[in-house]
Amino acid sequence: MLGCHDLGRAPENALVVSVEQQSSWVRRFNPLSPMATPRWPSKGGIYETLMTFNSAKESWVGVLATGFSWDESGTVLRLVLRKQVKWSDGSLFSADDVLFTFELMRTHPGLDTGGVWKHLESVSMTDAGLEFQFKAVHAPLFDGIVQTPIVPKHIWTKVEDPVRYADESPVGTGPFTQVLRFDPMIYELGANPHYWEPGIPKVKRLRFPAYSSNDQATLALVRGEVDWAGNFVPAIDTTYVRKDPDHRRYWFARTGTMVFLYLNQLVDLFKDVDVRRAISCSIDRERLVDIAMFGYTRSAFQSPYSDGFAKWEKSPDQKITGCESLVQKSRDALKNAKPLEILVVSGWSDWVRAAQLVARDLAALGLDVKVRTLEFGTWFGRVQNGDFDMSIGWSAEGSTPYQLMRGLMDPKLALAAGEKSVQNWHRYGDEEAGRLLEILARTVDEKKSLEIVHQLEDRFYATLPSIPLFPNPSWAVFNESNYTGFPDPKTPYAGGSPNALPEAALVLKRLAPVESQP
Amino acid sequence: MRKKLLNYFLAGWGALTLNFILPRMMPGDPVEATLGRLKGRLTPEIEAAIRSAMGQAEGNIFEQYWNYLSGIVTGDWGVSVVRFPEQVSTLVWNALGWTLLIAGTALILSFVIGTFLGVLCARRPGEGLDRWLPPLLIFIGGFPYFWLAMVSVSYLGYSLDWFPVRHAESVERYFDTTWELVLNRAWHAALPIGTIVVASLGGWLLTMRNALIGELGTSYVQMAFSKGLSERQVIFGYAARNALLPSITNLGMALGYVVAGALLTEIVFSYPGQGLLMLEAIRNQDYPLLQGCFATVTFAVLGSNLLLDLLYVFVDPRTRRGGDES
Repeated sequence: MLGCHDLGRAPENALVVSVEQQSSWVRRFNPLSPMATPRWPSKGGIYETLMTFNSAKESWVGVLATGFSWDESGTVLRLVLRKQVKWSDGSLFSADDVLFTFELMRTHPGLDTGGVWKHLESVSMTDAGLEFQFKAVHAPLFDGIVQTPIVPKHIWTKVEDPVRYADESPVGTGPFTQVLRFDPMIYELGANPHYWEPGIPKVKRLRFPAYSSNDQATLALVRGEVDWAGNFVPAIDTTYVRKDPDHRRYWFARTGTMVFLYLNQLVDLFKDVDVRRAISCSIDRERLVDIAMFGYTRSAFQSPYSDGFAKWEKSPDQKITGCESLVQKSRDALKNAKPLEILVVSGWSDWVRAAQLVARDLAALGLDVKVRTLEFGTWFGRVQNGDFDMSIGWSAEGSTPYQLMRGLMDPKLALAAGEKSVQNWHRYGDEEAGRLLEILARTVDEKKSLEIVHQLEDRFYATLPSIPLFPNPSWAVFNESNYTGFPDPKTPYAGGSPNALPEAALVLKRLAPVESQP
Repeated sequence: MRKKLLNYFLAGWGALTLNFILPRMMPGDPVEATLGRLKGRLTPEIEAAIRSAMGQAEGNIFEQYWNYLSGIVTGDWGVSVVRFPEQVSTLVWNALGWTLLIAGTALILSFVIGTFLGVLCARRPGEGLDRWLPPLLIFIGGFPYFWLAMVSVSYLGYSLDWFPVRHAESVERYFDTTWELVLNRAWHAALPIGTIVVASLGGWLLTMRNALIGELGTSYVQMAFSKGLSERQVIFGYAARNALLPSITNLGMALGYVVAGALLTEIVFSYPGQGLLMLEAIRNQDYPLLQGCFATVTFAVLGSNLLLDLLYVFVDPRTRRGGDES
């Protein structure tokens, strides 16, 4: 009877990807609807975007568009479209499809997750491609426009309600468009027969088994059943790599978002910058990274930037100096403080450990701090409503630090108590930073943007609105026994994590089966 | 009888109402759960788009309640939020099959085996089998079930590689014959069923053993013995039948919880049943799905109790007279 579970026909070779943790799959590939996450890799792999951001090199890669330019006023963005691109049903892709997609987002605000029509005046066709006319200069809009997945007009005009549309059999321009199999616990995608890049993709089949938890996903990885995964693996060198060091590797780039200790400005104690500094001083970051994060990341002392924003950084991150006098200065304020709580989501074990270590460090300052773990919904509600003392949380992503800085210090987002804010949970507003953010939004010139971002960085250092702890690693685990060509720090043609779409589609296009495979 | 049915109706209505109220008392809402999954990509603009797409809950709370109740009756349980655009009834129905397979089989197996072992132990109390089997099973049953299941996954599934560690069938494989598929599913169900049986055997054994020992001491049994009947005839013909009543009561109770009771099993073994579905619904604050899952549990518990009430009339003649009043 042993080995009974191996009954049945062995499957064809396929690249096995473990990316979302779900107990079963729903057949849904609509890349635009925010109702629910579409199946991987809808955004980028099935439906391509105009351009894709390479987080490892911090640069843009052309996909459906081959280039872009701004006019002098900075209110017109021109994109050159790639020629000879076909949809997976064989019909020709054109600027008309792009126009249609943006029109769809205008008529259905529910699809406009990038908020592009807040700043966009109109879109029109040109000889080479498209022209986006802005209402006023708003440079951060670039991300939203070029990373919009483009859908085919000839199919989607017939869709009655594109927001609720499931899109079970997608027609896209991406490298993988054919749904070969779809069962509740597994689905498979096949290569697009009409893909525009000759000879690409070399992988002919993708397979996605449903792993319901991180434990299950890790178990499958360790057993060698998965080729590419984007989940956290405890003690990865001993549990995973050691079993087959020639083929198994990982790349935990520090390009995720910075993890902060947020200090709520509604608590009087935290209004004093010296107190905030003293708190930052007292946290033993090395121990934090070692114990809470298994040494998978680095410490962050003062800089709000993960490695994903390296090119915007003015001065490299340094340890805080003059800690002793700072702590001395705020000793009285700290001694008389009422008991405080750090909120963290229960089950997010790395952050829970981090919160416990922070609480211990703060106790040395004379503060009475307790860690409180909450269910995600409760935590998220309280944090957004400003109903907390301290909390550990993520920060905003983006191709520039605009969203990040906005979330940290924009006075427009520093709402009153009880008002719900999706960013700037700690409710810190700095007028000077607000002014700089407005200028940054109106600047398209890269050199000028850099100058303003540097000034914002100075503001951050001067005010320390929240305490940086460590950059969240971008989880990427590879097994090159069957397929090779994954990126690494030496060949950073893309970041390695399958979680980052549309970027991960760049990796899918590079992978190739190992020659000697039977 | 009419009174009894009215009681069931009231209990059902109360449970369904609680089922409507409780999820709404949880902090947050489905929209927020969706927002939370976006993490760093979340900006005020995206929030606006999602709220506009998902809309606010339809109607005020009374309208929602009315729609909910009428939906339960007509079978329209709404659309799941997390599994959008799947119908809740389809999801629940699919999951129910798997749960009944493992939890139902496990219940029947542990009832039959446990009760039979109970009879064997009761024959010679304090000697032979009875000396070591009940303590051993109680000892095993005393472990937290979660731990027992994890150890079996880790040792039997992972280290020895004798059993599959997830799913209800080998999803990667293609099956040409039904026979292959059935065997494969049985193999996947073996460990989940096995762990439940091992953990619950002790309870059944003790119930039967204790009831039977008591029964063997009564005068009618003594009389049967003195009339010269064999031990086998006495135990299976008289004593065991009467001693079975408490076990049957327990079985009826357990039957109702079969639908919900395999929660831990399904989580550890990643088995696609009702328990895993319920967990997902709670995590994502999927009200329609949550209501569907709880309604199923409500119906299962009430239904099995009703069944038990009816069954008692046949098993225990004494209850028949009590029911004559209506």
